Amino acid sequence: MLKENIKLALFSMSANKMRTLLSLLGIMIGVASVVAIMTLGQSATDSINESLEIGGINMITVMPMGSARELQIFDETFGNTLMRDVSGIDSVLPSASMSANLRNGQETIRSTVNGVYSSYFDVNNLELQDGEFFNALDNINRRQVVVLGSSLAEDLFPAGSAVGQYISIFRQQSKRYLVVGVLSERSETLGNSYDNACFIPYNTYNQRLRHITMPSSYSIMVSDDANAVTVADDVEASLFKMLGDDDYYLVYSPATLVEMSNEIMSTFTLFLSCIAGISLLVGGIGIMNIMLVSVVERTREIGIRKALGASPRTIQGQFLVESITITIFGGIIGIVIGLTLSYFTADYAGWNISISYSAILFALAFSTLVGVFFGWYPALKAASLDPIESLSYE
Amino acid sequence: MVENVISIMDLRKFYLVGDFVVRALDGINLTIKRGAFTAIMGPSGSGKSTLMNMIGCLDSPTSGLVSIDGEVINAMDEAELADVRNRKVGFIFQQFNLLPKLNALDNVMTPLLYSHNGMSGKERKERAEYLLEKVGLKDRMRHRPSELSGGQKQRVAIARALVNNPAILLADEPTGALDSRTGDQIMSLFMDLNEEGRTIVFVTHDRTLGMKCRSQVYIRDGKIVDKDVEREY
Repeated sequence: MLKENIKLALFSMSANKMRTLLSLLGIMIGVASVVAIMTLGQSATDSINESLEIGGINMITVMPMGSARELQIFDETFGNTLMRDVSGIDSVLPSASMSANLRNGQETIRSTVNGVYSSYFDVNNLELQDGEFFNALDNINRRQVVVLGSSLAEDLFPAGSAVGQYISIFRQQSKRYLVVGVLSERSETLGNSYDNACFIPYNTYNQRLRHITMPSSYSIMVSDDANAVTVADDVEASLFKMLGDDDYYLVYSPATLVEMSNEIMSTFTLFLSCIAGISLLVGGIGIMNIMLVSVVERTREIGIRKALGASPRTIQGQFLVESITITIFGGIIGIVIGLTLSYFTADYAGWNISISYSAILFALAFSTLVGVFFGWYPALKAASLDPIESLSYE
Repeated sequence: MVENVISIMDLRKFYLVGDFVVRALDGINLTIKRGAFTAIMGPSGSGKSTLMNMIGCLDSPTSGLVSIDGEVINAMDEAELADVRNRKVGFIFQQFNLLPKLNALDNVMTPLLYSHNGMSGKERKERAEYLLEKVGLKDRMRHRPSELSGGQKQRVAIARALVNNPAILLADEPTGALDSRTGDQIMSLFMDLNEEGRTIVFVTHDRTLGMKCRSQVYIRDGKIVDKDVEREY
């Protein structure tokens, strides 16, 4: 019976191709936009999160904002103070940075020199394309070694490998540093470029480049079993408690940003999906309209079927199956259009497409529901037609 | 087996049209035996169509009793009536009333879809093919109604009426839309079917045609005015 009903539905759809298409347009557009919005929302979120997480999701950066005189808490004891105050922190690494000229032979380039501890590389998920990182011993001995960012290495050594070569770093006087490693290329995260920077041991920086009165930033490593978002919130609270003003520090936490971006994107996606959902509703009304027309047009057919022994329920089932078949058909076309649209948009925006299966499932379920809901009344109308009157209907 | 396929006792059907009560059927008593070939005749407006609708379980009476092959239909709801129609009555209409989108075979199979007899798709198809062959349309099974002549359409309708092996064939002016030669052919098909033992109720206003049946019932103003049952066995 179901098979025959579906066959009948396809018959009547193909008999009125143009009409079917027009009445399906609403459902198609609705489903296509829901699928496209949800898929693109997912793709955009994933792509944003990916770029946020590149620096390590378990890393929090704290930047003091102000002079050393105002912000006396940022001294050698800051790390211990913070770890005592906030649980879930593995380590607190200070780093310092300044602008300086770098030279190799005739090439002089202005760059950011960072004084960092050797675990800084690990904490920030940095990788090498050549050579190695300096180690704790280099720091203790204040060796004049440097790790170069990828573009900086290319600019200073256009001819070939930088590792094993010397460069000069200028500040009042020139000092020679041995290049021990070159970083792999890294896409920029919130203005934090590693490719044009270079890194020397923290103590070397302090002793030979400039005395560090206050680190320019701290890299905080969150323990594996702690929630980075919570830790970041606690760090902010602790800093506020210590300084009494949130103008004196900046806390940058990828995990917090990821959470925020997820929240914003899902709210945004939900909002847009609701709008698209309205077009599904409008599409449903279109289906109801066409089903009502169809019932009137087929009054005689209904009369014949009743004379042949179709019960009201059977007739209702036939028309319900028909409206569901139509809406599912429209839903499938809509999904194809929506996915195609998302594919090209994501391609244009440079996102990796993340197909939202929940969106597809939702769209299919919703179009079935629309078929049932808006097909119910026309089907009921068909079922309750009087057989004698219907048989004489012209 | 019930001897009387149709038993009607004191059947009344009144309609309210505005403020007037129309007595479409006003005290009909009628029995039709198994194997009969009965014409129900009368001018238009006589009530013969209403009577036909009662026999065909399309309508329910105001009062009185209607029993079709042993089943009393008075108190039945729509679904039960549909079931009795499906099993007991084979309709043949003046305007054929085939389903235009379906081919001859699917048309004949349609009543089987509505009966709960557990036939498989293959069995249904075989049954329909057998009947189309029987009415001489073996080579027209895949044709749609629009591709068939009037006589062929009526043959499809007859095959469809027979498909559930009903107790009654109920024909309403079945030759009314056909030319006389084709009409004669359809009439002789009915006669053959009656020879095989089919009970046929033949509703017509055409006296000559009615006389070809083996018994006649005349209706006027909702009442049976004359019965000619002599030629019944």
